[in-house]
Amino acid sequence: MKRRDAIKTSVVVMGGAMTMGSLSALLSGCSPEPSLSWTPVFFDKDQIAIITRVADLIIPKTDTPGALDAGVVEVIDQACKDLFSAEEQAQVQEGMKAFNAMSQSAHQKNYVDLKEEDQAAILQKLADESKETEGPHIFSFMKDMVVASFFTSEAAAMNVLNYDPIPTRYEGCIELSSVGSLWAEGSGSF
Amino acid sequence: MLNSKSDRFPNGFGNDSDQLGRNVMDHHFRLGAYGQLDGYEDQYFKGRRPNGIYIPRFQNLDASTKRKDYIRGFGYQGGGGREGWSRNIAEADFGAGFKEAAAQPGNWTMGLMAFGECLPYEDNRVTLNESVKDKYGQPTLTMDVEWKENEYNMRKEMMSAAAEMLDKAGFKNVETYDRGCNPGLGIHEMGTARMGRDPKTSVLNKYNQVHAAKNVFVTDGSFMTSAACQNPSLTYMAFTARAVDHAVKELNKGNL
Ligand SMILES: Cc1cc2nc3c(=O)[nH]c(=O)nc-3n(C[C@H](O)[C@H](O)[C@H](O)COP(=O)(O)OP(=O)(O)OC[C@H]3O[C@@H](n4cnc5c(N)ncnc54)[C@H](O)[C@@H]3O)c2cc1C
Repeated sequence: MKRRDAIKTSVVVMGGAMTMGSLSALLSGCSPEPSLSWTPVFFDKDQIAIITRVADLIIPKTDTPGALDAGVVEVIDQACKDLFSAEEQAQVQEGMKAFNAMSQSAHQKNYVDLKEEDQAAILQKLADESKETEGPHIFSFMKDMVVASFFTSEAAAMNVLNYDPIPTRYEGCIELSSVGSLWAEGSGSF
Repeated sequence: MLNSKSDRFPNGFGNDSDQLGRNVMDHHFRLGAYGQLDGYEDQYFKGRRPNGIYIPRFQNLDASTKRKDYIRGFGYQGGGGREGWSRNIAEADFGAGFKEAAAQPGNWTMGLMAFGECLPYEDNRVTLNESVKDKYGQPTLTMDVEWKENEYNMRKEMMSAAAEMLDKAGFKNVETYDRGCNPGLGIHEMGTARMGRDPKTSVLNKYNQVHAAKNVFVTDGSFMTSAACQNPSLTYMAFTARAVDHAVKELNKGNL
């Protein structure tokens, strides 16, 4: 699926409220433990290793926390088990094969054993491919999951976005520079 | 009422007209358009707003707004804001640059979603299914409701007029959308015990009283004769207040 369409379908406009759909609503309720000592419930260990690399490439740690600091891999694993239909789960499982297939054919190695720049190159190839694909694609899926679980995490809310615990009074026109970035709930909300 | 049968009301309480359970209506929606507005990049907003914008019905009000494909009409609910982290980032698909850009507000956008009227149709109805009982031994409800030609014709303009307005207002990349909508999704179900002057064609009178049993008032959304296109709760409340006022007056006069 083209990313744009995925987002369109996940956004609800009604009575002035435009928020991400159930996915991020559900995700925002989770506060994942960023520990490594957890047992995956949907992916196997090798797949988790790939997703860990992919999540880190999509939202790396910079001077602020990245996807791995926010514990997105655990969230994605749990979400795949709990939120998706059997058909969607099968698509994800099938799509996951692309990483090792592409790295084997280009480098005769598994994805996680590549240098970071080669991992990024393959991810970019998949990103380009996803734009030409109608229907689901593993890159769009992983990106949506990483982005949604990262930007709804406490780590992102407190360090990357603007967290306003009590938003209250509406001011329709303020200088962006006075806040500097998106509000923590800013998935695209009105 | 359907479940309250007697010798006097063999087809359900107050159902002399056979209108009980008929004319189920809901609002059809989940379609419209959105667009982007250039500029104002250095401006943002803060806090919570109680509501969005509303555009009242502008079709079929008089001769000059008469539509040929459908009767009655629709209104728009919507709002504006800035795109957030779920948007596409042109600079990068992923990585540090993507992360930084995604944390900034994107374009200003405006969305309009149409809410349309569904006409009352006698064959859009609920009936009791005596052969499938629930765990209390009560018959279950069978719902048989669909949109028809008037709704489908209206839906075309519900999308196109939204796009036209955004376009005329100077929005860019205006796109229409239709996420599909079944009866029930509007969660504004109403009808099934409509009011009317004639007991032969309606269940309730104008004070929400059952025609054949004036001491019974039905004040939920079932009294509605047409759905209009607005959110319904305030209308239900107004009619309920009016029915209660009438009941008190009649009681005081000793008529009830
Ligand atoms: C999520 C949601 C959002 C909505 N948003 C809006 C909105 O923004 N604006 C708007 O105008 N409308 C909105 N609506 C629609 C509106 O809420 C309903 O149309 C309205 O509340 C219906 O009122 P009612 O009195 O007909 O029925 P209800 O409020 O459903 O009342 C029926 C009552 O009957 C009781 N009952 C049922 N069976 C029995 C029984 N056998 N014996 C005794 N009591 C019984 C039920 O417990 C209930 O209290 C929304 C609806 C939903 C679900």
